[in-house]
Amino acid sequence: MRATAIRWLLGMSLLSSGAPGCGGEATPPVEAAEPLLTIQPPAGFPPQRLAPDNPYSLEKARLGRYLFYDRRLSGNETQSCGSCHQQSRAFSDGRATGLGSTREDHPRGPMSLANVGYFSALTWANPVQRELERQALVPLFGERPVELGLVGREAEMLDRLRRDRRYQQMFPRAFPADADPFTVANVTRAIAIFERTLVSADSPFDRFSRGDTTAMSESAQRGNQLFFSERLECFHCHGGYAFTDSVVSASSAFDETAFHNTGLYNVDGRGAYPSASTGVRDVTGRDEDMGRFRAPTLRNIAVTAPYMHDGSIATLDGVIDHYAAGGRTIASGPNAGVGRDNPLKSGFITGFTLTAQERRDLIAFLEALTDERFLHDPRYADPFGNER
Amino acid sequence: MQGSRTRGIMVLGSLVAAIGATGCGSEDTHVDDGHVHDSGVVTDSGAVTDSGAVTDSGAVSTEVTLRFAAKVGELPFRCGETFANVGTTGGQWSPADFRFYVHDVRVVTAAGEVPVALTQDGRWQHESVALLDFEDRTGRCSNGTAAMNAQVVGTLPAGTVGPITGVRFKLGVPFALNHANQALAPSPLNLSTLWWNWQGGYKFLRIDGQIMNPVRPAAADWFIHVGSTGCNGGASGGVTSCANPNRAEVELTGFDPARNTVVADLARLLSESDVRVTTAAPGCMSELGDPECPPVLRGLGIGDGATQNFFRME
Repeated sequence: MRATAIRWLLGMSLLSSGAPGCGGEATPPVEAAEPLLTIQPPAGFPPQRLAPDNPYSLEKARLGRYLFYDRRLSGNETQSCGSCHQQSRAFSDGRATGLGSTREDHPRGPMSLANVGYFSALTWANPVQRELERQALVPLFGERPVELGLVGREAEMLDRLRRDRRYQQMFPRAFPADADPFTVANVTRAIAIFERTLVSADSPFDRFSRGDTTAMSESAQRGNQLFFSERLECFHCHGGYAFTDSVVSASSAFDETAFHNTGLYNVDGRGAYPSASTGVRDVTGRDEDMGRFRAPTLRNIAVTAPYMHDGSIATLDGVIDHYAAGGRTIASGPNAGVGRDNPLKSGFITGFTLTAQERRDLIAFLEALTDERFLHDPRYADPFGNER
Repeated sequence: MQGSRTRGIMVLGSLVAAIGATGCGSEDTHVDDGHVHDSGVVTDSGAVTDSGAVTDSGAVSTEVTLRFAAKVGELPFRCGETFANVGTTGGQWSPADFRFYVHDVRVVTAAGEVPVALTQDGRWQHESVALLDFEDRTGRCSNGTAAMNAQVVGTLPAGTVGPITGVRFKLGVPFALNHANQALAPSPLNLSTLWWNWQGGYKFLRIDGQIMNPVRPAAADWFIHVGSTGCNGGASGGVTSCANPNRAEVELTGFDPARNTVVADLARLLSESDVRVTTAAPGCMSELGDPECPPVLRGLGIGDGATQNFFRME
């Protein structure tokens, strides 16, 4: 493991030279074609907090990559996790809201998985979803809405995997202590470990932060100042290495999970959001949780349009309009209302004015959060080459 | 389990004398008395008198089997059939599922309430929870399991004195088990059809069906999913509390396990519901504000002043 991690830290260039054998160790030799997936924290990132019963192993991460992209993990074998979490879009899908394997619409959009191993709460607004391993059960087996559509078919799904010659090798390597490694729990464990390897930390902003003064344009540097200003208040919810305020790491001593109402809607004048998705309230049932959603990471935000939980804002420009107004106003239609007056709105959403240049600068900064290496890293790519 | 142990056994749950001992240490002897008896009727030398008094001085335990049935009115539930006159406007209901969990099972004797320790069978019963399963994966019940279960089997504490005059149990999964990782849970808590992952728990009761004569054809499904809602998470990941536990307490007075069956009657549960009409969510899936939920939850005895009418005895 250590050799693996060091090789990765030394950079991708070593990959092409072909990984050396492991000197008689029991683990199978690393094949050059198989990527070195790691959860080693990059500079400026803490180590991840792992589930106690699911330690990292390279074999698990590799298995998880295959499972993540395997369409046999849907009832009708038409979708995989990767169908809605596409690497080129930072593992989102470009749609306003998700579409499941049975063509059922999801009320919310797939979120980016960049740095998902650091999020203290998962999905848009669910305070009970804290672990990647358990969260995976929702898309796999959920019925309202149906996503991958495997409910009641776990044995059939495991049989599909058991019959695959590659998995006959990979599962025992990933779970060597298990007499029968083909279990739902192990599927979720492997996928979770792969997800934990999806670390994005090489954007122009990161390189600039590490001392490369040429990494960000002058405009983006001015946008950086605006973003982290008390005038715009963006950073209160989108701060830190993960650009969200709901983070957890191995060093976390306290729970840091936050949900916010940003005044995106106010359909009844008392703060209501459209009933299709009311935020944390959908889970807790508490009226004060109306419209409260988790602040998504802003890393790679330029490639994850459309925006907000329901994809109701098409562009970054539109998102800035929403926050500049201190909450969106919808003039007509069933969702009409003045979000600025939403009584449940976060105190940080007070509005601001920007000059045209400042707006360009802010967008330049947000675009400087795009990590091209992350979006094209072959370690994260679909190993089936879209053949399945 | 030990060869030297003597056990006083209740025949199908009633404290019937088991005089006429077989040899100590022999295997449990199964006696046919014309009733259901998967669990078997075991005689031994631990004498339980006719009056039900346990006279044996050693470790005496008594086995009890509670029979359950699923019905729609007077008709036995069965996948593949269509049941008429469901709800307030004569709905025709074609089933797709009928399962529920019970826990905290107790019987009532003259001495009061006595807990039933469930037999840990590795299939239908785990700790204090049992799954009752009336679907057989046929017809529309295609997401279910071929195996079915219509009984709860357990043991009463030594020294329990009969007769049994009632049964009490809770519908649902207890809090401690409800919010553990479902993927790691033992049977019967490892069935994905009963997971309610986004709520972080289980569907305690799942009765799915399709209405064959809906007012609006597009909304023909009618699902009943009851579980804990309004849950909050804690720092370490688990659910810390739920505003609506939705665990229904059930009591059937006068229930004698030897003669009676607990009947889960869908016709009674839906007696106040117009199943031919449905709003956005088909049926009642415990969503807050769903107008189809209050009558269903009332029928389960959930909510202030509600008395359950879903379970009756025959």
